[in-house]
Amino acid sequence: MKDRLSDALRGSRADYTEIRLERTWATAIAFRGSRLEGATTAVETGGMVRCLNRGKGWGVVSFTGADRLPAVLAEAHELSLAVTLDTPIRLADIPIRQADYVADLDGDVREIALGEKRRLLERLNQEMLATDRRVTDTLATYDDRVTERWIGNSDGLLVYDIRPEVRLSAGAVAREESFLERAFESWAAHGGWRSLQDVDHLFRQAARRALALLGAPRVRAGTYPVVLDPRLAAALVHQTLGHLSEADALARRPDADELMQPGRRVGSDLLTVGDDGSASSLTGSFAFDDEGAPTQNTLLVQHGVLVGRLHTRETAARAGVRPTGSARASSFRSVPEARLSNTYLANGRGSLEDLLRGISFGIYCCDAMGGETHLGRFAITAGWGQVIRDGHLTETVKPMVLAGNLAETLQRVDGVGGDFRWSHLASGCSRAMSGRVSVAEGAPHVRIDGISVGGETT
Amino acid sequence: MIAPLIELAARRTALADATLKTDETTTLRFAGSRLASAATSRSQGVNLRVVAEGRMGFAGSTAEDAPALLEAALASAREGEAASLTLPRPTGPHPRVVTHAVRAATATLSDLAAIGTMVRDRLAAEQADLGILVERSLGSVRVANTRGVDAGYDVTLVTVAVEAARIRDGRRVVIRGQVAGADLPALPEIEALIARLRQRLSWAERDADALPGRQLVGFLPSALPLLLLPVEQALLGKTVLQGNSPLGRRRGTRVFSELFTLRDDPLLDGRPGSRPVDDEGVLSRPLFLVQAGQVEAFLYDLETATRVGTPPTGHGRRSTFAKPQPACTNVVVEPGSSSFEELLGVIGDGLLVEETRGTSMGNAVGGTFAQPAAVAWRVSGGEVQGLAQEVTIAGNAHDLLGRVVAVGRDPVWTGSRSAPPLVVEGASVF
Repeated sequence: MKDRLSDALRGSRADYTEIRLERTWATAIAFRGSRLEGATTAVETGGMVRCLNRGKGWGVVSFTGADRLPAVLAEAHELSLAVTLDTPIRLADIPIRQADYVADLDGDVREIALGEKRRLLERLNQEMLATDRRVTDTLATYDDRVTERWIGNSDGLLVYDIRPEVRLSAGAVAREESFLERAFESWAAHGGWRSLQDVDHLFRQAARRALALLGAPRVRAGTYPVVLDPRLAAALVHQTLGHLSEADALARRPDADELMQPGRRVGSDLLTVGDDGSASSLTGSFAFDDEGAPTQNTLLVQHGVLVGRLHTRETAARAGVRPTGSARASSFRSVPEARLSNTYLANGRGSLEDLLRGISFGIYCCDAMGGETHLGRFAITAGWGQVIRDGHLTETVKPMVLAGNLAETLQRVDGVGGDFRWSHLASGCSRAMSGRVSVAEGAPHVRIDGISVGGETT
Repeated sequence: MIAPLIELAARRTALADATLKTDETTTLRFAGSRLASAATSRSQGVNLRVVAEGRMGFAGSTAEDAPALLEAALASAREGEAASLTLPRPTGPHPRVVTHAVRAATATLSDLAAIGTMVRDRLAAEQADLGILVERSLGSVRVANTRGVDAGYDVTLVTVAVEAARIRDGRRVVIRGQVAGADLPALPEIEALIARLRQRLSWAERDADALPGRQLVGFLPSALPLLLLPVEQALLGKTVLQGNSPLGRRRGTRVFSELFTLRDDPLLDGRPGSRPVDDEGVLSRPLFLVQAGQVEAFLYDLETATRVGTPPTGHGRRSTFAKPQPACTNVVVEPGSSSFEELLGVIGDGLLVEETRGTSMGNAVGGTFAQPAAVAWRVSGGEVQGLAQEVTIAGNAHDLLGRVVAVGRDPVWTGSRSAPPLVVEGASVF
């Protein structure tokens, strides 16, 4: 494969050429209730070629299978020549390396029979169904993949990696009389078959959560002091400050760019946020990004003040900084864009109990079920919660929407715990048109002294 | 490769079907006054389903390796659920529907670029920051099974999407619009798009704070997916079978406003969801889903229909790597009688939503949402007063479609949905 790639690059007529080839083995299994929805394996191959000529734009061709590379290169070159730009595209330098990164496959999932994987999921699914007769429906999924990637460019870069990933998800529906509640858990690892230890509790937890929500009251809409659990805090940081730090998205939105100018205060000085694609063995960890640049730990917010952004080679050159190894593509079908990898809110001090202390009435909000950010405004749904009374956690409450002005809300963060943890969720991060990439997010508990909570969601 | 694949499968199993989809998409993006990037994406994928020894299996591949694909499908069947499935037989002629236009298929890069240039020139006087996308997909679908079905059709789809942005008071206001169809867009269609964008840009010159609280809210066609998606999901036979549809037991009963009628129509010429036959070889036909508020029908693929014991409706959709699922084709909300001015009069003092950020959050099929509006207009005294900034809209889609108070007479296509503006009572704005 490497020889094919090098030969093709040598034959390219464009000023700059980049080739990315991928091969993915994947398994997908799903149970709905006690019924198997499907168990299937697939192999997908494909690639993308990008050409750039001086004063011209990107010419991009993607393909499935193994198209003839020289013809694809010629086509990408022609497409580049069709585009004339006022402001030439420049690419920031990255280290020119020839290297292989072979991750520990951790029990190669390709060597495990489909039947064995199905039996594992069947057992986990049964754990949910057996929890209680009121658990009437489930959705359990298992996904694994091993992806090989080759990236080469006309500057002489040629890198290869092979990387495993496994994902599980557990959804439980509990019913009693006319009440119906859902709960969801998921788990993902940058690993193989051996990493699937001790996953039973996830499935039991989803079932127990759905049961606990039956008959749970809603929060009355209003403004409350809240404590976010690490999962919700991490999701909020990913969704807001994380996405607002992606340099190519900011380049398209001058008002968001203005909002996110380096040096600007975006929240309380307890907030330090970063994105670390080089972190060890997380679902967003890679040795190099989809332009072949090495990943790194990039600080985005330090003590509440903006200090950095995530860059591709193109946005880095425009900003006059070094690329951050953040050029990511969901597959060979997508152009690399500046995207998040492993996003974190750094540890503060103290325990959950310390954060709860002093709250006479508030809400402990847990788990994120999705959200939206539009410029300075956000909304995020917590999967469940508990009422805080005089510093103690009391009854469970149903899902709720937390919404408000971002800067005002983050300014009201008055406590960040010392109990950081990574969420290890399977959900990934999706961008319209550009698809899903695997990410991780992590945070400690966070206290906000007032946020608008809407109680009307299910 | 699909005919040899079915032949090969027939030697090992009595029942198999497959779909082959090919696509070549050319995408041109204009930024500012110039063409900024050009890209081509080519893909091909086969999805194979077999029933072997009474068990169902699936496999997908982007490679042309029929024996390997069959082995993968048989391996999947060995682990699969016991299943019965009745595949369709070849029937008479396919219904007529336009899915392909020669003019679109043969358009060159410069023909496509000329569309973008024209849109740019027509909007030049607005002095907005323009982002224009012109995309042409050229593809084919072929479906075959072991009972002799071997159907196919060609597809073209041309999309022109425009983003016009202005900075005002340090804030970027973005107005979006798009047209999509099998043929190159006709001039009147482009003119209508441009007129719409111009009107929105002029509305956006002023701010007008939204009134918080429950109120009459108008949804423009571009914002309607927020209300329609949960209903579409709830109408899928599979959601019903799984017991997750709030409409599951309400077929034949009036659930929504009498003003709300919804149909699925794959036989409309030249629309993004148009097709003569579905991805499982079942002939397409229009289907009333909701008539005057009453739930009439659910959408079925083969497997779900077999399990329920009802005929399939021709709504099977399959991608390369997933098993067939029921899905909508073209969704049409029946227009009503109100002019746009009359709708504004009905809203009186409220909000008109142009675009929401994201489409669903939390419980999608349940219909409960709380979404920041990307663009919404404050209406008072029956007139648009200006852009309502920083607004979040909340409510329940099923509930709100039960409280439709007026329906516009002029539908607009947004992707594969055609809908007029609707006014509903009781959405929360905060």
